[in-house]
Amino acid sequence: MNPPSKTNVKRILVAVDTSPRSLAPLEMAVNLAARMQAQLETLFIEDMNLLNLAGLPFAKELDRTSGEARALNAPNITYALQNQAQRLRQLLQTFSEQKQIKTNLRVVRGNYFTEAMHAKADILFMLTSKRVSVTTPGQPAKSGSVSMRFWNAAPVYVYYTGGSESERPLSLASDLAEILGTEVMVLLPANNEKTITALKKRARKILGGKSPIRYEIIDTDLATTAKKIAASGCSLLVLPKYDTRSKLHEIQALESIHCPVVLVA
Amino acid sequence: MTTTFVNPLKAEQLYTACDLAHIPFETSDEVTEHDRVVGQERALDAIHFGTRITGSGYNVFALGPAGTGKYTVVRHILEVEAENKPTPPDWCYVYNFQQPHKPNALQLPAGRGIALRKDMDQLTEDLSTAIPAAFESEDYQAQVDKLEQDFATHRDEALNQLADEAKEKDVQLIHTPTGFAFAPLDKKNEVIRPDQFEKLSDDEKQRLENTVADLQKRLQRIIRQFPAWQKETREKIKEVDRQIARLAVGHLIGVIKEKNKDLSDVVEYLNAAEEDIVEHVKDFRAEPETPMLFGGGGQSRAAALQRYKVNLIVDHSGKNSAPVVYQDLPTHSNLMGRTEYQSQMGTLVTDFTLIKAGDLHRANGGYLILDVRHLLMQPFAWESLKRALRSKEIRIEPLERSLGLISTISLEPEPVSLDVKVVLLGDRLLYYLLSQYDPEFRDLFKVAADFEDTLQRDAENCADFARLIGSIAKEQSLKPIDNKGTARLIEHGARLAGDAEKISVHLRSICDLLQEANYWTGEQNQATISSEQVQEAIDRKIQRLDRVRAHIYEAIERGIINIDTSGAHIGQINGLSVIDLGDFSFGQPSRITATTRLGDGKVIDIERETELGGKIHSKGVLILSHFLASRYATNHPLSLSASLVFEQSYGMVDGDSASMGELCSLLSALAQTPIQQRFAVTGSVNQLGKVQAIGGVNQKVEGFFDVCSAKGFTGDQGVLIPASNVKHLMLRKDVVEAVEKGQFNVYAVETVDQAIEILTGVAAGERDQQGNFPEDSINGKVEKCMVELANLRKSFAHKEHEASEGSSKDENESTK
Repeated sequence: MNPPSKTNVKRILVAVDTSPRSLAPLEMAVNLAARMQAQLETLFIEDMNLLNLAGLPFAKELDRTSGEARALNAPNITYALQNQAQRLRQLLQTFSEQKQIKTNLRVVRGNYFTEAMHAKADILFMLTSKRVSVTTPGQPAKSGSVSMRFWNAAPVYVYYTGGSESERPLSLASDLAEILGTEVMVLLPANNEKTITALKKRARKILGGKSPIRYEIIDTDLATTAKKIAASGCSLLVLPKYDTRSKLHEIQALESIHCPVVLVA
Repeated sequence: MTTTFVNPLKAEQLYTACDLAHIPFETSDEVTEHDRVVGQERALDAIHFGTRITGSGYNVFALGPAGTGKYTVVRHILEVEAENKPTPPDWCYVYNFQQPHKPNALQLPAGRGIALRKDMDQLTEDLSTAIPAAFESEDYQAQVDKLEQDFATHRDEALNQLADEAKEKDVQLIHTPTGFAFAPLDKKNEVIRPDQFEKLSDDEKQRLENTVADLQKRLQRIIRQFPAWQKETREKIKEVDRQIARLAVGHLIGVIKEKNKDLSDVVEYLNAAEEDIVEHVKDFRAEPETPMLFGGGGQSRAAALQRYKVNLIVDHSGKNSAPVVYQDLPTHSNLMGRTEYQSQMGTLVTDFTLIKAGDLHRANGGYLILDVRHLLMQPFAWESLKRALRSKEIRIEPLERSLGLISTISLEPEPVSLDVKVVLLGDRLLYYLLSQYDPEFRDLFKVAADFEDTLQRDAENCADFARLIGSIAKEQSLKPIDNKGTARLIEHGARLAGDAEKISVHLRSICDLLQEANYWTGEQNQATISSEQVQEAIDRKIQRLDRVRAHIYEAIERGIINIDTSGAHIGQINGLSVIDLGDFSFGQPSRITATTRLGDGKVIDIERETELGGKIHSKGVLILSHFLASRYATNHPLSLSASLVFEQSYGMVDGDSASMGELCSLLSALAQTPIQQRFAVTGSVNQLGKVQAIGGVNQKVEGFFDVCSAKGFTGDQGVLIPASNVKHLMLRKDVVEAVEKGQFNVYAVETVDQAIEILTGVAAGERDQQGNFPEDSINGKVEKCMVELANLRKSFAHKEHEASEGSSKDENESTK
């Protein structure tokens, strides 16, 4: 199986919402798009939950920095969302100029997971964690290279079943690990030594020795595995998008994974 | 009646030639090195005393006319003295970490200042790589990342803990574009829509509202704790930074401390620098300076590291003696040092590295030579110098701030302790004026080194002076001068001194003449400077300067200025004055006339009446009027009114050297005896008729000689001079030759009687046993005239009295 290339990866999608954390995968996606000369599409999802809340009579928001309470109403929220979209547009414009890639911003209204999973793309970057956070992952306390290095030092996890649908994720994980300067951790769902050996052999063949590889055997479901991964640190989790094991409800179940999740078509 | 005419002086009395036996060489090639000091023992002793004595205020004032070699002598002595003194310490200014606007002064043994500067520069350079390297280490990164991650985790956990609690109450904590909000959930875990909410019971609505409000308050409390947590994290990171910095700095600065462990001030500074580096370690981690428009963005890295530099203001490395410093332009800032400024984006800024040393810093521990006239001409320089000497410290303070002209923040460098001997060079007038009018002067300059203008022209001094001339010729790489040339220079020195028994020690004049003689020697293709070349130099110099004299003599020759050199006139005499043109002076004959008539005893000095006469001249006239009264009018009132005037004189006249001439012209007028115009007269007289010495005798004699020469010698022309001036005569060669040939005469007189006899050819006359002068003598005629005038006045007084009595009688009768 060939690794992802500009011929077979045309569109990379990043799903973004109002959470600062959701911007975390954007930079990785930009670098990947530049590497693959693919189009970067950013899907800004205006969360319906937020809009519904704005319609409630007692709705208030607390400022992220000062904690001051402000009335939350539909016009204010609409205006704020438009502003956020505008800033995102400017950011993409900058990336476009810097990396010489095509970028596109699409604004939709709905549920973050539903809209992200239904969007058409060869590669989808999204966040599965529902945890709230003040800062963007990768920049926990302050902006700067120090924190990024720490975050990036964690390996890129990839779920490899040995089927054809998981070859591209494996190859992509290798590319992303190279971009981040880290290693690839291949998750092998197997329960016997023979299968494990066979899967490792195939994986090595696909990767062709490009990145340092380690293997981890998993014998539970992905959600349980995700908790283990979260505990040991992870910079990305790469999954095949149409694997039956990773349907919407399964993706939603990955909320313990704080790092961005990459779904590969 | 007999006359006791005075004989004219012999030619050998008019010029005292230098004995070639006194010149200790044939040519100056034979001269070995010689001190450039002759006859200044008093001044030398004073300078030695002043430089060696310790104690407050023992600074030296070397006084004497310019050109006597004061600077050369003083410098030479000080350099010799300096050789025996230890090399003073180096001085540096360093950053004051407690009060940056007050830089600290550091004193280090000579040569160690430059080492410290080098070490600190190296330290800064080393730290610029060592500190970033230390901060890029895995260990440091891990520590900081952990602290930051802990903070982020702490914060997020607090939020998510509340979010979990909210979830249990069917409320979700969600992100808004700028913050957080709590949203009540329905049974499908979706946020309740407004229409759903409306359908809820009032109690349920209230419950949800209260729950959300409670959660909001708790969230608010959590968010408000974030800054404190962040500050705590920053402190922890800073402490880690300090530990890492201390590790990086400690060893490097420790080496410098070890080198300077004997210098407590330096060690103290290094400790402070170490602490400051640890506190400001970010400066070493900052990116190198990038140019910025309009200077925004704060301090550049280079500027931040500037404070660890060492400004070595006085460096004595490689020296083995105390400094001797001379400043030709002693301004306030040149003496005291200054703080310079540099322009940055239109603003003037400064720091301790821009502090510049003054001459007091450079001379500290040694000697400072200053020209007092230059010093006094510079605003506030004198006051600043005195303040420094008084306080024994050098305080660098901008003049504009001392004067209160500006009040902007500037540097106040720590004063430097001062131990210096100041030697002022100046003329005597300035010394006396300062002594009299500046009360601090005598406390600060207790040693006066008074330089002689002349030295005794004895054999020993002639030999010394000759060696000095030879030494100068060699030093200045001139052609060798032979013994005749040297003798001529010594003779010229006597002429400059205005005394045949002295030599002027005005070295500049001698050096100049030697240089010019050297030039003429070259022009004449001679190998050795001899008397001819020296004479050529003298003559050429006079030729360059005598334009005024030539015009005056021409005017006399053409009869525009009336001077007779033959014939005889009553009440008219040739006086002599000196015109000084700076480098050249000459004698000018002036006609003095006297008129007499009946009066009340006053001799009117027309010069004084017209305010063209000086006080000394007036004094001379008063003296001669009292001489007349005491000699000729002892028994009756002086019934004379006389007037005296310098004819054709349009400028100031001063001095009493014309008083003998004025007296003789008065006597001639009173005795009605003409004065021979072939004579000119100079000399002052006292009340007893004795003739006293005057100045410029050589120029005066030569002045009348030149006029006679131009008008034609008659063989009997001459000048009368005071006998006490004979020892001053160093007349020109042509004058001496004319006297030898009998063309011209110089008479030395001791009394006015001798003078009047020569001038009139009539005996002055002495009182006989009855107290009467011979009738046909000058004195007899004068006395007779005085008696007649007194009688005349008496008869006038009687007639006036009668007239007044008659008129009063008429008045009485008419009253009756």
